[in-house]
Amino acid sequence: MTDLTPEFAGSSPSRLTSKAIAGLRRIPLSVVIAAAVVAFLVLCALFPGLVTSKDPYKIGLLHSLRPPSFEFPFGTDQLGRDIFSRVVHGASYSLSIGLGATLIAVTVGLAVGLIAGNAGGAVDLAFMRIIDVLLAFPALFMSMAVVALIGKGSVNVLLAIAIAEIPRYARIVRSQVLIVRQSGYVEAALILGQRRWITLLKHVLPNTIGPLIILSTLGIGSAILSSAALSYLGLGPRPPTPEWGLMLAEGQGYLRKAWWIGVFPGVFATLTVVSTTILGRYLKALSDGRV
Amino acid sequence: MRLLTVEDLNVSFSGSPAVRGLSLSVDAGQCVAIVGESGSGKSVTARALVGLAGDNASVAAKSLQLGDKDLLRLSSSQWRNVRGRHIGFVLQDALVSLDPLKTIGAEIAEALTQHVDLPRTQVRQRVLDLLSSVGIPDPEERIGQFAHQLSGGLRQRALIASAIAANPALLIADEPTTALDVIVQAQILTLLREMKEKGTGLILISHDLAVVSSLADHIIVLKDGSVVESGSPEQIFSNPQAPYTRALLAAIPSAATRGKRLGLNADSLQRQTEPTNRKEGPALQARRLVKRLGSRLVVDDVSVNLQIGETLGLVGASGSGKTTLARLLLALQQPDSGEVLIKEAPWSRFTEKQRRSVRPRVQLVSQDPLGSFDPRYRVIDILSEALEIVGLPKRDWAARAAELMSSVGLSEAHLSRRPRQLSGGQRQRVAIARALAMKPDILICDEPVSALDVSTQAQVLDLLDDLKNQFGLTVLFISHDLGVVHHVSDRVMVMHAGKIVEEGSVEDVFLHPRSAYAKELLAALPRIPSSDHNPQTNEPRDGKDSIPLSA
Repeated sequence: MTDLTPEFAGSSPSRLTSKAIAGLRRIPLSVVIAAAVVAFLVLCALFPGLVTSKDPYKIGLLHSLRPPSFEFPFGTDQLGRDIFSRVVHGASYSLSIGLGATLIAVTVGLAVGLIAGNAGGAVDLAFMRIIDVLLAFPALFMSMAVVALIGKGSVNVLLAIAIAEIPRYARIVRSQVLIVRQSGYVEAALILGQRRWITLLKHVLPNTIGPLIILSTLGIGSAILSSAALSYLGLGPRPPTPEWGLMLAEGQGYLRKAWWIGVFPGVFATLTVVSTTILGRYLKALSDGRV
Repeated sequence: MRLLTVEDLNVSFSGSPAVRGLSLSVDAGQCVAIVGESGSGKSVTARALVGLAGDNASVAAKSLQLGDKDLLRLSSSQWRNVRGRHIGFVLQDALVSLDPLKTIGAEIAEALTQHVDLPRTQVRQRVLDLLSSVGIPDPEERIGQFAHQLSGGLRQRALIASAIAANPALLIADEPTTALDVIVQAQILTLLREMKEKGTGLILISHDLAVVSSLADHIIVLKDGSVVESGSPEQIFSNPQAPYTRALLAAIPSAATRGKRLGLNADSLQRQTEPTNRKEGPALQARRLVKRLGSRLVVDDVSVNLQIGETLGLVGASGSGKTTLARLLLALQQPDSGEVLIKEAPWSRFTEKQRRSVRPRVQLVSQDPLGSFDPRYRVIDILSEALEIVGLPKRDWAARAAELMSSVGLSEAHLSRRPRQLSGGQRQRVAIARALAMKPDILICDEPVSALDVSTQAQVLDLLDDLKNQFGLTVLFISHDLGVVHHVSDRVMVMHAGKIVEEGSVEDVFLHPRSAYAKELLAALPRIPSSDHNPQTNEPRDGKDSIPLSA
């Protein structure tokens, strides 16, 4: 007899595919635009030659301080360098500092958070109090202090930003580790007689990394912003590097005569931060099941 | 007086039908029960009747008449006037349904003043009257309390009070007692019966035939959105026509089903012969366990003696300490005093390292199998982890996994699925397969079927019984459901407020309870009135006029 409800066999694959397609159509316009902006920036960073043929370092005093025109879409600066070309080439600095700093911060934060969350007790307490102290300082202030200690330059800026971001990630990882450690599946592994460190590697680590990756996309934007801020303050790469923060600082003196020198790098920095943040938020919403 | 007439109600969600051709009518002082398993469309029906089916639902009917109102033509603002004023609606989960930021007094006053023009000075008095009419003690004190300060039973009463605040002629209750313990459930059912006797029309939605049996004047059995049977309780219980109704009744575990299979499906396993090498002696013992959580004494001087090969049932209401006791026995938590022994070895005093080699012998089947699986894992990964721990060479994993799947009644095709893609019953089977992979001696089952529908529950209980016989398992079976425990156990312990208040053979505890609590528990159990509720077995029954059923 088949009178009792047969056990439900799960959704058929075709239904899942059509669901996925329907899901794609529902992506908000802002996310699509943000993705396009980020894609363009990645193109600029990897292959600037495809976007502009001009040399960002080439000085041409004959056509200095030209306003935006067909020949110079973003105008030229006081030395006659093409701003568009400089902005395009600058993308690689901003993106690599943003990505690099976030990568380092996430890696170190993950290690610290895992150790603290898993060890518990005195180790946890010690780590968390240190992190509390570090978190008490604004991130930019921390980065400036680090640069003051280890010196100026692109690599040092990257390190300084990473160090300032570590406590944030460590704290998030620790709380996630604590949640995962109390989960039914970690307990199930214990009941099976699984070794503790294998449980850590097989269950705790992977289930902690997922949410962290999404969160770190949000962090890239703020890392880019910090790098522009440090460069603006003269702590980053030296002139004539086409770095957005540096260009902003250079353009500051000409703001009344030639607004385009400072405004375009500023607009690009803002666009980058806003776009990565929109993407990060969307990823987070996706993983929370809110979309 | 006719209150509500529904003719040919159809509800569908974006094209797929959820309810097909349902008709019913409710008179004043009458109770109509809609019974079905999850997904049968019973809650959708309830929500459609109060205009809350949702934006993506299309509701159609030949007639949907409340008194002289045509409900099909109502705008959403007119619906607001009908809900509460003419139809009261009680939901299952009172904690979610009550505003956490409002006192229950404010909550009920809001429901009241929305529909009734009452001078401000009289509102408080009316709310107090409502609270006492639903049997909330000390209404003067309770009126100022928040939902979280009330017990589950009191919350459900407060919710009913707010549903009947404007004195609606018709009350729709969707699983009003499902989240409650047996004794509290009996109180709520009594309250509903009193309201019915005072002339309120009642539509009661439930998955539990026993719950509706005492209250309903008319029962509608739903399956996959269609009515499979409709009739008086006498008719449904003593002479069910539809095969589905019969199967549903037969699947309910109770005293009458002891030693018999519950499911009718032929896919279950052949019953194996008794294992020949049965040993005697204690498998697991607990001596005078005490455990405090904060200041609360959760387990209070409990001793357990689990003999090899037996099934020991542990019954108790939620919060009685059953799960904490199970955790102590599994050494997931340490007792404050007392000790747990496994085959005379001091298990609870071992270090975790010493325990690790013994752990495979004591396995758990929990209420929430999904939570016990790593969310990233497929079924094969879940089983492989267990097989790796027992030290099976990697090349044998696939074969052993397939073997395990067949012993729990699943196919190899399920190995590549993710637990989320499986049904509740299938998930529980996977959890059981993982436990079996460890070749355990002892299986601790903590509410293993309480999240499942009756028919799925029947299949899982049959499976556990088969496996117990096949592998000679010793089982500790924990449940709040007396019917289930009665069905599976050899011996029973009753737990109340951290203590074991009664212990003995199934017959002793269920037929001749000695402790006051066990007596109260058994008296509160809803019973199906017929002496022949189990149409699968046509044996004559002894003189008892009622059979305890699942709670």
